[in-house]
Amino acid sequence: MHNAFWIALGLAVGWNSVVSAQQPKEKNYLLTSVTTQYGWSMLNLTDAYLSDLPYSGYGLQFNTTARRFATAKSDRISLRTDINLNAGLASNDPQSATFTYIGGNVGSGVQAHFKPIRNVQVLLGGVWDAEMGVKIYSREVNNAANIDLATNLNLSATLRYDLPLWKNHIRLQADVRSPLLGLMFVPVRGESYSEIYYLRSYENLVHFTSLHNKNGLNIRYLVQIPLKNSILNIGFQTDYLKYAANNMVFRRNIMSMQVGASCDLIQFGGRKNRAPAHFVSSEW
Amino acid sequence: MKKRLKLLLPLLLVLASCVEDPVSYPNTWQGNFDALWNTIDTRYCYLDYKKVNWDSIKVVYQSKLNSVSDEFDFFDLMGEMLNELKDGHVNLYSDFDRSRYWNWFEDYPSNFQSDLIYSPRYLGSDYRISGGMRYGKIDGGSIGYMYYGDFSSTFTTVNLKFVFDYLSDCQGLILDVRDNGGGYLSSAETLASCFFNKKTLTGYMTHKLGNGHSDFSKPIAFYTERSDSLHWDKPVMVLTNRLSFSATNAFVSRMKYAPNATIVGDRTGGGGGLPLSNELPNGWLVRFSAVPMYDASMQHIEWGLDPDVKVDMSSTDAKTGRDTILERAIALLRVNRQF
Repeated sequence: MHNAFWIALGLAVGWNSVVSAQQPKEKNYLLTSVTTQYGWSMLNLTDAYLSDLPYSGYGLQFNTTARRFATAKSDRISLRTDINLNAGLASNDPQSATFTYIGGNVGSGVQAHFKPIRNVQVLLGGVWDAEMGVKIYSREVNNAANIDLATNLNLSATLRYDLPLWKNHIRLQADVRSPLLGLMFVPVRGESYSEIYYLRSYENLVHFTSLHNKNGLNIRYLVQIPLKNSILNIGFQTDYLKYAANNMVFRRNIMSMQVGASCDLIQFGGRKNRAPAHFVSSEW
Repeated sequence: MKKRLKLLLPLLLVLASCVEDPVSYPNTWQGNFDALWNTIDTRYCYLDYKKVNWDSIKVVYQSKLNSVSDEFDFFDLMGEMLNELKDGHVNLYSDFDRSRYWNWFEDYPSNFQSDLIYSPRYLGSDYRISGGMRYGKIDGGSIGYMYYGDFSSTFTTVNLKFVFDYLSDCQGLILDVRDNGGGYLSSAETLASCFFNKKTLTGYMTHKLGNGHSDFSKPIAFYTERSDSLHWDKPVMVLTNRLSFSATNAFVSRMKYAPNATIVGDRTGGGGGLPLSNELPNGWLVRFSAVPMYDASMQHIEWGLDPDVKVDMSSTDAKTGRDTILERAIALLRVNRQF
């Protein structure tokens, strides 16, 4: 009886292996890699609508990038989505007034992957983004706040170098973005937002942008250290932006030290990307 | 392909350097002087209208800069230079002082004595207060009187509704805005709209688009609408003096076009340019007129508005407890009632 049990168990395991081997190859599910960073930043702001003086101070930063390949069949094209949030407080040199700054940027784009040499990847493409921010001026004046609104088509490039170590590797990454074309909202100097609204005075508010009136360079450097279930990221980011309209020049320069993590998510949904049978979710 | 790239890269570099850096000045007396002079030169809206030779003013005050010995001296000199603009909306703010030009009312009769208003002959002491308005019935209850001394002291339509309801049995209203130095333009518009029976063109404004003294946008028209919820369709006398300034001046400019309104008193103080500000390298703030406003016939209102009925207060009347301007308004309303 005891022997019969072991024989039956052996057959069952063996049969199961045969059946599994006869299954068609499992479908590849796309993973979405999410890199989330938290940072402490130094701000430098000039907003000629509010004051000609430059303002500098400190703030906090959050950014997240989600990336996945366009199809499971190729590793040449990836889609990315970026969210950046900044908040900070800056004062002028004589410390006589402050700007409270809150800004955000949401972008989505495509990059092509090239592997020119071993351990190096170059990703090139474009990102379309929408940007919004507000600066609140502490002084008791007629126009005490200004809103930044813009949308840009950016040139986007990412350089990755995988530095081999004993059993693993550390990735060094530089992510560069620069605006090429777009539209931006800049109020006329002296025209308040209530005038724009009540008098429906919409002239000279929306401006076409290109390199002739808007220059920017956003570079994020990351050192990515693999851990057991995720990747630890240590980063440094510089976000430089300068633009001019309505006889005013605006500048924003944010440098931040960041720390964060990357992990992979499985993305599924709809009729095509159904959850795999073995997938367990708290939602579905 | 390589040839195209070689052409494209320099072009991109040239384009990328097109955005010029904003002009910055050092935090020295000379640097602050230059920053202040340049702010007014490029952004003050009345240099041409007032025929101010700002270049020659620079020469005059530049020569005095060497005699400055401390910050107070420097502040006074800069304040003196700004006073050449003869504008009540021009101030220099520091941590220790605020420069100002007050000749626009100090050189004229005051034409207002608040103790007369609150005497038993007029409001007395048991008047009502709603929002920033003090009101009651005078002349035996036949005339409503409302004193509004500050357009920064806000009111709601509910406030106004109670005022108008309370005064509804009066034959006319006296709206006293003497010594009202201004405040919110939105309050001026809201109050004026109670006296219009249809949407009426009441003015224009322009904005400076460039650094030239006359680089203005085309005029933007603004209208005074008829208030849907509040309406006073009986005669209204608006009392003014030289201290009716800024938003009050704008209110009077609108009321000039109200169908049943008569402006009584002295010429208003002006202040027809919306003030903006800029900072100097040392952190001082300069406020200046930047957005000129005009009446409906595109005439500047910077120097004030003449009343329909010019009246000055008489010291003899004041001694007997009579406010000459207010008495004249009462008399005009009585005539209106065909007493």
